[in-house]
Amino acid sequence: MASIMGQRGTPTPRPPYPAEHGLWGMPTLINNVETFANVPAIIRRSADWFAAIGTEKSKGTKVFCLTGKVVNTGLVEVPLGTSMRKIVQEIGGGAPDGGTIKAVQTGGPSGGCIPAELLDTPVDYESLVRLGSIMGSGGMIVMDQDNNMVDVARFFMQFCMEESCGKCIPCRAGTVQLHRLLTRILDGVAGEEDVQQLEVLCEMVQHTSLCGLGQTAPNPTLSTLRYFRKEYEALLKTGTPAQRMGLPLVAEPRG
Amino acid sequence: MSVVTLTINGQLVSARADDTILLAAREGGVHIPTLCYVDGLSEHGGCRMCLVEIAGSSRLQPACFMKVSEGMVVQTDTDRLREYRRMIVELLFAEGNHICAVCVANGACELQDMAIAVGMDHERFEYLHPCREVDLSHDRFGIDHNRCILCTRCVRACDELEGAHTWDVAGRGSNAKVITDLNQPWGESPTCTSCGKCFMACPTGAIFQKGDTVAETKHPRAKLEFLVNAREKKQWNV
Repeated sequence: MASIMGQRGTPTPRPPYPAEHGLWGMPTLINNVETFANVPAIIRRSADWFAAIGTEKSKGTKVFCLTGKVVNTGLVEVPLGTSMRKIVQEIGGGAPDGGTIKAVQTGGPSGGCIPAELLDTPVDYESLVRLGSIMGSGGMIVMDQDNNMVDVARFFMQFCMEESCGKCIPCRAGTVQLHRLLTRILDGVAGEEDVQQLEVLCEMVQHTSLCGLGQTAPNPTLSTLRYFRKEYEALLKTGTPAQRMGLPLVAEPRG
Repeated sequence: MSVVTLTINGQLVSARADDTILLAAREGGVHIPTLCYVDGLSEHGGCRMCLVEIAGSSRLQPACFMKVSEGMVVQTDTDRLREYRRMIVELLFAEGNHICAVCVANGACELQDMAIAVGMDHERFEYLHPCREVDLSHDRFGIDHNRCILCTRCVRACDELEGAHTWDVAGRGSNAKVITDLNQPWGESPTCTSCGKCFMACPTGAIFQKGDTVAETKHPRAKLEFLVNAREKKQWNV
């Protein structure tokens, strides 16, 4: 909205929400095109028709952009509540070249990774949030055994870091530090205390950022920590930071 | 103008219906820390220091922006908020090159004061040591970007109080910086009136008067609100 009004593209705190105070102070509806595209169909065929599709709280259909380690990539429209397994295995055709699906990333850089054991989860707004992800605009990236989940987290953090507008400190400065921590882990120079700092900073950025970009930037990291923590731990060095740097013990502890 | 009653940190506070939590708290004797907010300029909502907890919502809200409502229950100083505030200051110190010992604003710097206030006795993030410029092309003022925290007070002061809009922000994310006009040296700016309102507003030693040496700069920040009151309410005698 700021760009439309000729200003620098940065968000403003909400409330007030755009529906109340948006472009030039006027009530504004700002939604994804897919959301608006549903409106004529609902008007034409009735709200009851729309409400009959989907789950109790997530009505209608959703378009997903299915990509990654899956035979059939492309746009898929399914009723909300369809299981993730149906989308990636039946419609997507499963992993190519004999691979095994490890995780499905939903919601893009703002989302999280759903591990393979949870593929029977129905795809709806609440279920995804409960699992630590989001629907977002419907991105769905299938990952197999060759995907490094820590690298997935770092990749999405890099995106958020580069796309941050710079207005608020947690997102502008926090994503840089989070990216640095993830890179240290991947480079094999991090210890347990780096993972602890990663988690603490993720939580802070999530709760103090001004807009959705900063608020959801930690999601890929938090969800991979939740479901794929072993991959992080496998990359960590043991011992104290000084020991890891090979610094000699200068004085013996007393007593 | 109607009056609302809200609870801040367990005490009842009366406020005007269109007051922000920040101002209502101040009237009630409760101090909420701020970095990008300064009296006399519009609110920005960027530093996130003034975030408060509001009962009934899981979302933290910036007190500088959020309007009060009847029966609102606000907490401004929980352990969680204190920890977040300290981390914000640590992120700022790691992001720039804030070296108090050689800074004109040493001793009169809002960032320095805030570090003390949040109990930052050491830095827990890695210093990024960015390469940032110093622009001394203006004959009266200078800007040291190493000290800039992108609070945008200079942008707002120049736009709202002087009307010149010389300052703005270019770039995004950690590459964002304040610029004069079309990213020209400040001394070559055709719009700058040399009024010094940006200097008045700056919380750190980023924008300074030439001639000040270490620890000599004292930004007259109260002049911003004085100007607004003089113009709008015709109050000249403080």
